[in-house]
Amino acid sequence: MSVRFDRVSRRFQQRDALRDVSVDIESGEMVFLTGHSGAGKSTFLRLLMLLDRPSSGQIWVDGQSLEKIKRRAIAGYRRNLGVVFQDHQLLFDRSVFDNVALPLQIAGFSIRDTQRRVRAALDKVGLLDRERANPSALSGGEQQRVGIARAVVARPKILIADEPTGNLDPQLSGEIMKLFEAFHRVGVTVVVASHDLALISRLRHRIITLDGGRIASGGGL
Amino acid sequence: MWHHRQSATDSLFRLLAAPLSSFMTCLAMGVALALPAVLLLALSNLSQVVDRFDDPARLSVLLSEDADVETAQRLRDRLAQRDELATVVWIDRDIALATFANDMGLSTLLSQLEINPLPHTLALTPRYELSAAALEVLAADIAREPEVAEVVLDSRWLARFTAMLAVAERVIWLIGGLTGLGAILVLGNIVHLGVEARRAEIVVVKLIGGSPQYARRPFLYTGLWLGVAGGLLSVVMVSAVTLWLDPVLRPLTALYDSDWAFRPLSLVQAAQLMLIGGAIGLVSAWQSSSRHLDQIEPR
Repeated sequence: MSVRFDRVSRRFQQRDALRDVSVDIESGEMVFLTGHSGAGKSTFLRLLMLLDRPSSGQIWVDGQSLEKIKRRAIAGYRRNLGVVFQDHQLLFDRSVFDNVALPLQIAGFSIRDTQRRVRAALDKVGLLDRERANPSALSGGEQQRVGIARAVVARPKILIADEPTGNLDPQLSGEIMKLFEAFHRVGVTVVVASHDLALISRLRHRIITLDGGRIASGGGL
Repeated sequence: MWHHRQSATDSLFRLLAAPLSSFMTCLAMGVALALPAVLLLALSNLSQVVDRFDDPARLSVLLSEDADVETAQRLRDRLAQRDELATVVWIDRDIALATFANDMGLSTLLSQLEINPLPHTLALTPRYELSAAALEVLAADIAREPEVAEVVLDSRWLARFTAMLAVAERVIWLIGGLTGLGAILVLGNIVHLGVEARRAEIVVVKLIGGSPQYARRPFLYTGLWLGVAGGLLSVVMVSAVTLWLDPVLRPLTALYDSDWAFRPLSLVQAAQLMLIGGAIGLVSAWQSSSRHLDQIEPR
């Protein structure tokens, strides 16, 4: 799915979180979104996930204007997205397996398909042997990988990650980026927000830099 | 489908994990259902007594002392021509006395009477359901016949009683409506607490595209379980009340020489109570969870 931001602004009381941002992301492309904290990365992703609406401008996903998506249709829209959250957003009252299975259950998959897909996703992130564990028993890096497995298990059209390597060591960070690249290679649009310039500049993908809510570089194709 | 199964079992286990508070909620629910149920049961039993009077509207025409057999038969034939009357039965004073004496076991005493104190009587049944006012008019009209001493409207008390039962039924439905509303509020509050306790889960579900129906499902099952269990408790309560009243009702009906017996809750009625409980549970869970789930938005 392609993503297009057309002169998007998001204004909070006195501050512009995003100002006149225009970005084109091709279907199947992988891009990095970078900038200092407060530059507007999170606002950009929140608008894309419909957790927030722009003050002005238009966002198009797969040719459809997000403006047209009413409150009741938001859940359906979000099922196209796989999101890796900075703080993982795992549920600690259930096993790793059940956490990863959640998007499939929501989408109405049968229990057999669910088991097959969850195991495949956990295998991909190297946690197949931990499916019965509680997420609280896992390390930070492992929890992040559970979050990635959950984000990709329902084969989303767009994969969004917000600081996925936030507090991981360089080796783990590199492995996680490789995972994202693997999804990009099978045609998923991947948008990764990261301030780890050293890491992302080694990977050969477009880098969109935000500064003070404006595009500093990398906006066009 | 497996989310239904999972929601159903999961919400059941959550309720069983807090047995005391779940039981209290069911108890409140049970009382709310049992109160109107007991009253309605009593009412239906009373109506059943009334229904045993096959022809509730009846007129007894007592002839004057000096009216003889021919007079009585003439009046019977005259009245039989009236459109309003279905049957006109002449009860001979001598036969009436004999029957009375026999029934009461007073044959010896009454056989010593010089004269028969009973007059000839005509028992009238109206052809169709006349209104109370029309019956009064008919009774007054017949009372004007010269041979007639008195017209007794047997059905007047019955009409009053039936009218009172109708009022009582309305009042019971009102009570039922109020206790049902109370039950909905109590259950809604429990569901609200459940939503609050699972806030983190709801946020994640919304973040990854769970529909409102999906988020609501476990809470609907919570309401359904509590409602059905409340209905079951109300069945137990109603049956207990019936059993408790039975020993005092039995000698009372025996006194009236009646084969009438208090009808306890039937299986169908018990099932209806549980169904109503389940429906109340679903309704209150629906309104409460919809309202409170709407207020939870991911940041």
